[in-house]
Parts: sequence; structure tokens; C-alpha cells
Amino acid sequence: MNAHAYSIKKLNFKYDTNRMILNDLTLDFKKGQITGIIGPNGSGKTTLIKNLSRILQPDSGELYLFGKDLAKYKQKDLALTTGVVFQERDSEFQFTVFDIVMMGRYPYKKKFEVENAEDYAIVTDALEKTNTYQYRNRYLDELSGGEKQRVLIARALAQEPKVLILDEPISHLDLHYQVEILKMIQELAKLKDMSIIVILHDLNFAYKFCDQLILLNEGAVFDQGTPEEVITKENINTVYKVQIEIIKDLKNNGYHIIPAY
Amino acid sequence: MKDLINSRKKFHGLVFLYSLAAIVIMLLLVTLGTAHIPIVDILKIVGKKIPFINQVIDDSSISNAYRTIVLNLRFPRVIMAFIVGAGLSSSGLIFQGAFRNPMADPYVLGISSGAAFGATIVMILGLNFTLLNFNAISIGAFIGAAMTTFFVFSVASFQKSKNMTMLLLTGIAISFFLSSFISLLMTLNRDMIENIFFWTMGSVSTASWDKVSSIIIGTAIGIAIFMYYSTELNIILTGESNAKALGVNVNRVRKILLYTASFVSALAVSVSGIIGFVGLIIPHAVRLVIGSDNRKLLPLTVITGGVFLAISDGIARSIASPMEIPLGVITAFIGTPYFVFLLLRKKLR
Repeated sequence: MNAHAYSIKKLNFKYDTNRMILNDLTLDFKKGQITGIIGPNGSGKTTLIKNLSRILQPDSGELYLFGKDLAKYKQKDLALTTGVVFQERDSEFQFTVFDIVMMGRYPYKKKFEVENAEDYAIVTDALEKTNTYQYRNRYLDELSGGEKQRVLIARALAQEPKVLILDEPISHLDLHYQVEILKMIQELAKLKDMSIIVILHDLNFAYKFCDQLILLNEGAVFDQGTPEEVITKENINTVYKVQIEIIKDLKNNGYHIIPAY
Repeated sequence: MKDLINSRKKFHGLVFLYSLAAIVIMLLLVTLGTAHIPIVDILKIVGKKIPFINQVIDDSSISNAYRTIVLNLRFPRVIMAFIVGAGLSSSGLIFQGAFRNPMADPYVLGISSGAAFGATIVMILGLNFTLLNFNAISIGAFIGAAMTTFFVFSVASFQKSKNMTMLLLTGIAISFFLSSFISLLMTLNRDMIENIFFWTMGSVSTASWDKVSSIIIGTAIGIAIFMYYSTELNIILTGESNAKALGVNVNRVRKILLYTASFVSALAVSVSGIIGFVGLIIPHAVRLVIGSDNRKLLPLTVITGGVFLAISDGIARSIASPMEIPLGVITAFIGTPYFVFLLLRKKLR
């Protein structure tokens, strides 16, 4: 049995310009675990997940999803396996929250097949999990940034993927929902054996909620491993050019990372 | 689940009632004109054409001249106005969605100026022939529109990343170029200025059953293709990357929709000239009332656009009878205040 959700070998990617964005990445994303991707702006985090979700095609290298060549997946089969929430929330067009989340059922539907009771139940469940059920009849553009973010996560949940990829899912949320969303992600990984790949900026959350971390720097893997292995004073100082202190929290048996400047 | 089914049934009911209202309005529009023909006589004339029902209708009191006016002049005109309005507003809706840009309209890729250019050339050369029921000017307009669109697509496709802004800007640039070219041709052929000018203002006054039959099939197939991809278009509207991640083949769907919408609007333009406003505003007006779900938006836009243009044409031919006001003037005059009203109502709610 394949223990890896995604497995990539010597992945290279560049945009139209000649600058290499992803440089010889070799990585494994373990099944049923939360893998956090951290790194400074422009280090290639979003480009990496766009390669994982086949929005972008690599220039060279191998990409496997559950042991099968990613390029061999049909578009709909890929959507049944991997759900992605990108940072794209601005739309001039109006859809109700319910309609948006129901779009998550699209890969399951044949042409003109109407939604059935099962779809309805799954959508309701996704709305409740993300605490957005009360907005179901409102238009998405009437909601705040954080509420929109939760609706888009609900849509990815309605997709019932085996792998869930999230691009900075908590960046527009208040503290309460930052914790709520991360707890929900943890629960999904544990109960549904979902593999989670998440880009995070907050090192404290990355430390606390992720099983594995990948630290990217200038398109290359700087370090990978458990949070304790990756978030060290030396690594962070080299990559972010910031001094940090890691303080042991005796009460909660954890660590706090604070910048020292 | 119940409210889901209910809302779907409600929507189907709404479309049915709306279609009925549209038919009634169009019958009333047939009564408009210099010869006063009562609605009862019109119903009799129509009924006589319908199998089975015609057995029980007595139309012997109606003169043959009236019959000709109703069947061969007014009916094709109302129906052609409907088809042109439906084609322009539905393709406008598709352009707005495919570009994810609310300012897009059927003419955004240079179809109007391409058509006008083609029509101008035919008028100046004095060509006169017919093909598949289209006259020479229509053929010229259609070829002009098709070639312009094709040119715009090929220029934009030179770029590696399929950038929609690039396509829009190319369309705008070509439009300006062709419009200047038309002005030049008009200056060099002053005797044709009036013909060219009135053609570009838009009109369905030359409607006939031949013309109706030559655009109805293409337009209907186009609208069916729009309907086929309406779910995908909804998802694309919520973000391109997200749509790809949901399994939508964004590039393919968008390409099909853009080509189809170009074809549908080129058909409309070729028989009616350039009727502005309908393709931009009707989709917005309907969207303001029922939201952006294209599965609902599309059928309602088709009916609204068709009826709107039929009414506009009714006004255009009767308000200053026997003179005709250009159709583009009427669509803007009655459309703008209504659209502003909808915008304000939305804000005040």
C-alpha cells in the first residue's frame, strides 16, 4: 500500500521568463497527515500547489498521486481525488453560498444530472462543519473575507477529496476562526484519513497543527521533517533573515515562537 | 431537499408563465402599424394556420390585404426582432461570463466593426446577390464579422499564457482600426454615407420569413450550446484555478463558448446591423433580479432580450409613423432609464 499521497521527484518549473521558480524539488506528502508548507513570499509555495493540482504543468520531473502518474489522471478523476482552495475570492458575479458549495459536487455529476438527497446532505454537512449554514441563502459577495474563505473550504469539503490542498486558509480570518479552521483540518485528517497540504504563514500554528513541515526558500526545499526539526533558530534565521526565540510553554507542554528584534 | 425541489419547480413555472407573457406581448405587437387590424382578426389569421384549430375558425370576413400584412410583413418582423434580441443578449451574457468581465458585450471582439466594414464594402461595390436567403449586405457583414473575430483570436493566441485581457484589448484595437477605415471609405464615397450610417444604427425593417429561417437554426443551436455549458460557466465565474481544481476543463469550455457566442452575434448583426445596448444591459438587468446562476439566467435572458427588442422595434416603427426611428436609438432610450431604476432599487433595498 502506498503511504504517500503525493510523491514528487526532481520537479522543475518556470513561468515564461527564464527565472526558475521551482528548482529540483523532491518531496513526499504522507497519507493521512497534515503537511504544512512554509517559506517567505516568493519562495514558490503557491506555484508548488498549482503543480500538485495540475493548474500548471512542470517543465521536468515526476509527479505521482497515490502512486499513479499525475498526468494520467482524467480531469474529473483528479477532482475526485484532490480538492483545492486557492486564494481567489473576488468575483463580480453573484451566487448564493448554497450554490457555491453545491459546485463541489460537480465532479460527481453527469451532464444535466440534478442534485439528489445525498448531495444535499453532503453540502449541508460541509456548511455546518465550516459554520456557514446560516449564510446559505446569501450571496457570496455580501460576506466578509473570512466568511467567504470558510464557504470556499466548505465547497472543497463537499468535493469529498482524499487530499485537501489549502492556500493560506486562515489568512483572512479572525483568531477564533483561525483556530476553528485548523482544528477542523486536524479532525478531517484524523477521522476521515484525509491528507492535508496547507500553506501557512504563522509559524506558531504551523508548529502546533502540522505533522510534517516543508520549508521552501527560493524555489528549493530548504528543510523538511517534523515541526521540531524544521522550525529551528538557524533555519528561520537563514531563510527569513529574522532572529527568533523558541520558548518552551511548560503549562501547555508546547513551544512559542517569537521574533526577537 | 424539499425546498430545493420546490425552487426548481417554481423556476420552471416562472419560465412557463414568462414565455406565455412573451407570446401575448408579441401578438399585441403585431397589431401595431398603419393599417388598423384588431387583435381578434390577427388571432383568426394565426389560428387558420394551425392544424385542427383551423377547422373551427371562420376568417372569411378578413381581407386578403390584411392577411398579407399580418403574415408576411408584421409577423416575420416581430419574430426576427425576437431572434436578434435573444441572440444578442444571450451571447452578451456568455461574453461577460467567459471574460469574467461585466463590461463585455457581443461586440467586444470587434464583431460589430467587422460586420460594418464588410457591409460597407458590399454597399460601395454595389454587389447584389443572395446566398442561403441572405442578401449581399448580410453576407458581407457576416464575413466581415467572422474574419475579424478569427483575426482577433489568432493574434491573441500568440501569447503563451492564455490571457483574457490580451484578447479583449486586441478586439478593442481592431474595432478602432476598422471604424476609422469605415470613416475613410465613407469620406471617399459620400453618396453612400446615408446607407452606411443607417445600416450601422440597426434595424429589422427588411424582415422576411426567408431571413427568419436563415438565422433561427443557427441561433437556436448556439443557445443550446450555451445552455449545455452553463454549469461549467458558473464554476468558472468563481475563479479559474478553483474551476480547474473542480474538474472543469476551463480552456476548452471557454473556447467553445467564445466561438459560439461570436457566431450567434455575427448572425444577428448580419441581418439587423448594429443594435447596441441589448447585449450589454439585458443580461445585467436579468442578473440583478435573479442572480448570476447561468442555468436560470440564460433562459430568462433569451426571453427578455427577445421581447425587449420586439417591443423596441414596435415603438421604432409606430412612434413617428410612417417614418422609422433607428432601433439602436430606441433600445438605448427605453433601456437606460429602466436599467438605472434597477440599479437604484438594488442599492436601496
